[in-house]
Amino acid sequence: MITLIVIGGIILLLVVIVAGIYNGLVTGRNRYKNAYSQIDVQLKRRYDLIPNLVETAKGYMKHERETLEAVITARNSAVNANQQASGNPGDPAAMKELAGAEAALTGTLGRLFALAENYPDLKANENMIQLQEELTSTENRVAFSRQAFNDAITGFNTSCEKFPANLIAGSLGFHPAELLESTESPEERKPVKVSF
Amino acid sequence: MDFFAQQEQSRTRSLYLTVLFVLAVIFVVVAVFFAVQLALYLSMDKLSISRTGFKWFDGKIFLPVAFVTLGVITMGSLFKMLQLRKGGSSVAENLGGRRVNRLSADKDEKRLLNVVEEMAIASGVPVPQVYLMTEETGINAFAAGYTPGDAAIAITSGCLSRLNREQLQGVIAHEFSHILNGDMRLNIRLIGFLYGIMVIAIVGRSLLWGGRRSRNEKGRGQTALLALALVGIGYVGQLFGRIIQSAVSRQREFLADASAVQFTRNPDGLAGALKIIGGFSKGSRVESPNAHEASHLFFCTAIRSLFATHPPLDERIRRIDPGHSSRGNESGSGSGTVYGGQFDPSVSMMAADPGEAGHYIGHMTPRHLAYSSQLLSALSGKIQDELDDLLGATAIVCGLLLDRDSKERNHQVMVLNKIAPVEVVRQTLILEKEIRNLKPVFYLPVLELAIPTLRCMSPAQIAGLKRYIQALVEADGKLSLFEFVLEKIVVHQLGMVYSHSKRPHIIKRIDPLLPQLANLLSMLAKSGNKDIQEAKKAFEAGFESVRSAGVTYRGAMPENVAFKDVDIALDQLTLAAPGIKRIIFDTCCRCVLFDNKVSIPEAELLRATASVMDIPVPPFLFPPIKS
Repeated sequence: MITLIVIGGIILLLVVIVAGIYNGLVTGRNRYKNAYSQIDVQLKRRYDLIPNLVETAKGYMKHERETLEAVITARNSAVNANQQASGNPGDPAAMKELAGAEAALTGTLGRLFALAENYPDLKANENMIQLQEELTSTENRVAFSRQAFNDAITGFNTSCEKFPANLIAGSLGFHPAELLESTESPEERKPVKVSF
Repeated sequence: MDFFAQQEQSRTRSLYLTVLFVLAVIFVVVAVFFAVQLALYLSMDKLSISRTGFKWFDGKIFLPVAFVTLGVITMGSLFKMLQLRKGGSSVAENLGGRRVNRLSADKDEKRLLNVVEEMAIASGVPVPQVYLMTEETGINAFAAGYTPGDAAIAITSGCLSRLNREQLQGVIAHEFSHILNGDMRLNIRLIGFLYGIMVIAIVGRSLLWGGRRSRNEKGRGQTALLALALVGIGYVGQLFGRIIQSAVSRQREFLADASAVQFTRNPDGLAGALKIIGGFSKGSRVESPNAHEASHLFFCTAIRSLFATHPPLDERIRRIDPGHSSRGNESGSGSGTVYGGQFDPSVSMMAADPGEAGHYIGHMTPRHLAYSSQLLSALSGKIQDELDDLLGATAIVCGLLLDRDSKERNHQVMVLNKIAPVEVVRQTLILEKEIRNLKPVFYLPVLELAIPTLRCMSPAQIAGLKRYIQALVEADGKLSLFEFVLEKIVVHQLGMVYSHSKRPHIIKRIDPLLPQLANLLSMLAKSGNKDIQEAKKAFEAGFESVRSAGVTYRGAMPENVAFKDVDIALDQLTLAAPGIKRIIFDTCCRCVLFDNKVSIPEAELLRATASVMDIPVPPFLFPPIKS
């Protein structure tokens, strides 16, 4: 009799613990999903700026069609990758694809800006200067929001891996989420040269 | 009834709620006991029963059953409450809310943000996070949180698309009055209790589930029976919960409606919203599976149930709009007159009569609403957009601290460059000019608008921001009043985000706090009066006029009070019970309003005091806000 009650009690306790773990994990997942929306906003802003940039550059860089097209292609695949990712942020495949697409986009943009150095008229173009400025600022925002997102993911992953959550997280449908890796090289992250 | 009385009353209501809950728990325990007994009875064979008889009340069984049941309920409640302590945003997210971001917002969402921000500034409540329940097409809304500092407001997308601005304002005002009337903590507790009882049903369901796999034929029947009984008890317990829910909730709804009308002076807005709900096929229904336990949070009945959490629509409408006939639900908006809505937005100060100051706490007036709406529309769109971006908001806080003196400023930038990531420094420099163009009146409102965004940062980033603030403040070697106020507000508001564990000891008497109050008052008096004699008079006036509350301070005004002392003083004063806080804040207001003039430094320090003590104070109405 007593043993039955004790077993019952233990089962009850387990259920309560599982419910607690489940709720904690849901909160963690919601937190990083909401954190992704901050990145999403800025990525979209970036994708909107790029066609304008290419349009402006086109007038000056008549012989660089290939580069310009490469930028547009990279932008379009990044748009797709972001669509996938925003539907399911933290999904390893989607995150890897987005990071790859973003890296490709950053690379082609870098090439475009390097080539633009050869066109003084383009460099002096008001529109171009403004777009370049906005792109940099948007990338900064992405970097900052990405840190918040990655921290949220790390928090979630840690709570997935902690005992006793690690025993049941998988069967409750929670899997470790993937960080969104930075697309910048270490040189780009050097402190600002402050000039007064 | 004023804000502090509401807070006190909210405690008594909590007690009443707890008593009801204990009764429900006792019932559940007894019911579980009999379920176990019944299961035992049926499992024993008839022969042995007839031989020895069956004891229907067996202490040896009752004790462990009671123990386990109580344990489950307590743990269930505690778990839920711990989870809810994370603040309103976790409730909103659990109910399927998406945070509304100005940068990605469409026209309607921007309108929502404007309405919420206006009210937050007009009432002095920290700007809550705003969520949209995108999947819900019914018209509903709720406010949740543990303290006003971590509140979140969520509305359904039906609410957003079907209500006009006036009606939306009415709904949001209703939610704000829940925040101001101290209903949120009560509501959170209620969710916790309900969950605890519901766990019994959850356990029953999982036993049913698990029992099907049991190999033991006889044991299977027993477990299934026990499980069924538990499910039944869980639901009956929930029924009790619902009765408690409706008992506690309905009166609060009338009160919130009344306050909402008082805040906006526009009964048509709220009545219009209620009428639209009445005329809309989906009404105020909320589909989210988690809506049950939170149904008393909502603006209007979210879940059809025998025990209504909300008074009937018709009655609510009739109380706001006595001319309303019960059948005439309309789907358009009435264009009635705004009664008492005649006010002059250029009227200068919050209160010319010092006695009035305390009266405004926990309320807002149409005048304050108009003022904050002017303030927000005078703010440039660029700053508003930046305030909704993590990096932008961080940069604005840093930018507000940059000195006007170029030598000091350069030194600050260099220091920041050493400890902050590149993007923060870059963005701060980009925004510097924009921030410089802000008039001082905007500094604190801008800071307050940044807080909800900053709360979305990760713990590491919040710690980082605190470091940057400290470094910027220390870089110029001197601490200004504004720097002190900014740091205090940010640390207080963001300190609550990830740590809810500590429950401070509450001070119920004012005597031990008098020296601290004297320090704070000395700083207030000196920030408002250059002349030391005038300052002393203001200081005395503060203490003098609240003598009726039993405050007699014999000492003279402390002359050399450093920010460090005020810092300690504020931390101590926060611990006071609501009634004591009222006296403290009254003293401060009287000191500030002694000369019937309010300077910006005075207002800022008063604002920080209110913010740290979690007292919602409407802003001072500074006349020139055109930038």
